[in-house]
Amino acid sequence: MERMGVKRYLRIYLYYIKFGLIRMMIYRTSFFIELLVEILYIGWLIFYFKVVFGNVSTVSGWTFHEVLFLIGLNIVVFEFFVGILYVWRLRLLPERIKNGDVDTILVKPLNTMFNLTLSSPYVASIISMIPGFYLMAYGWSQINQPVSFMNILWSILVTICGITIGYALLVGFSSLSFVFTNAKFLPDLGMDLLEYGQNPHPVYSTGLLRFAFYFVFPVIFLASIPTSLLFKETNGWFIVLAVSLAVLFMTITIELWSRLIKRYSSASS
Amino acid sequence: MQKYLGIFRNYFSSSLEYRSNLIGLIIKEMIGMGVILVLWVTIYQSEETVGGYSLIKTVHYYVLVPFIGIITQVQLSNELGKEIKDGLLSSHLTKPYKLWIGSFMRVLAEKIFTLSMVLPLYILLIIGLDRFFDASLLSMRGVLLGLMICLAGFILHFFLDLAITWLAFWTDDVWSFKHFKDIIFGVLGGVSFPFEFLTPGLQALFHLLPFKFMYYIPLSYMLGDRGADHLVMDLLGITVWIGIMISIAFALWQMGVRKYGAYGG
Repeated sequence: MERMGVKRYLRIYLYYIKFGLIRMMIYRTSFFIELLVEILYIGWLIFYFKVVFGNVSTVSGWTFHEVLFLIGLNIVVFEFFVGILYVWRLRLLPERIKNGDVDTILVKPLNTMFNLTLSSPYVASIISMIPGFYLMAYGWSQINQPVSFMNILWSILVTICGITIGYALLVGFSSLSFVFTNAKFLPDLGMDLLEYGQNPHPVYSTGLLRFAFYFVFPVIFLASIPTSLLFKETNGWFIVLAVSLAVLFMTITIELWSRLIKRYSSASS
Repeated sequence: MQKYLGIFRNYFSSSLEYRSNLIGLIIKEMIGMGVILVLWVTIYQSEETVGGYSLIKTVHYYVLVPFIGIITQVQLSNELGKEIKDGLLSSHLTKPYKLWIGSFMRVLAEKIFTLSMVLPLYILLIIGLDRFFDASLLSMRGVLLGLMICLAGFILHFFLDLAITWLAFWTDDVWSFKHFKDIIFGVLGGVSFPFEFLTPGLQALFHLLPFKFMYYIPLSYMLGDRGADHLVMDLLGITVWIGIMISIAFALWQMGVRKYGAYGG
């Protein structure tokens, strides 16, 4: 029964992607403008680090090409969150709650977290991942470092854990909209925290920063740790921590969501 | 004039009602500041200066960026653009006031509210920084000159954002324009880095554009890099750009409102 449930959700999600594509084709001008903005954002990120490395040769022992790979992976992961979660869902959640527009979603025979967070993919972001993959490929080609198959597997595993942690953080922050009415900043707060993932993690290796970004908001597992596992050091402790935190954060977020959604009362007539 | 003061009072009250959004703004700006500062503090562990900036100057720069943004930033396009898309502009068109002045009052009310809440925090932050570094970079003269440019930058930004808002007559959503503006200011306005971190060629190019007046120029005055001898030329430059933005905004309004149609119940 559980496997059929997962299959059903996958089939429904494919329909959502199809609707997203149709919507994209109907509003083609908006799509191209949005795609341009996504590409400009990526360009800005690359330009920013080009300026940094125009003034220094390494950042916490990371070379420009290692950081380029990190940025590429960060772009892929970030665009994943923007497209799958943020633009047409979490960003609009506070206003939907305020206006009572969540009612029609809650009465559907689907998991509420799935329906409120994943049901409107923003296809332009998926296309915007392509420059990220290009940067990863380019950065990798410039790094003179042999990479083993196991390192690649560990890196992929930690990236998946990082995405799980990122999803939990975003949904966790956004779910507070059920408590704080019209707090439009909540989903943005989650997205802003993900931006800390664009820096190499040794930058956060002292004192309070270490505690914050390794345990409380562990965004270093989105891109920096996976990059480090590929090109710098295979630290088993990071792998264990990534898996543990992914499970912990998802458990907390599911529990938080279940409790907070019970507080929802419709504002519509 | 009374009707516009009434609009101002309404939006000021509305800002008070949704105080949590201000807390969110403060946290958001602190996060943004933090992302950049942690990186630069790490860089300065191995460098004395970067682009002629010492650590204390770089820290002051990035700490002041959000404060400057509170004065110069305008986020009208998101709200008003949505109203155009949803057909709610009709309610504004039937009212006995000019929409652009009403929008200016709306922005001004929200800004004054935000500033009144944030200013004491910033004063404490700057005092804390001066004590931490045992040095003071800011002078009263520099701060006042910087604030003067900020006010002019705010007016420039208002008309720029107004022009962006009217693009909603032709597009499905204006959310992407806000994002586009953030990127432009990040690169060309001095939000992400001072112009001194760039090559001379790029510095010259960026100085030709109006975005520097939103962040980089006010910050230069506050940090003592520009003085009263630059003021007249800078104010002249802003005035020219304000004139250009006003022309673009009103041209877009004239074209857009003729095309506008509100459909549905």
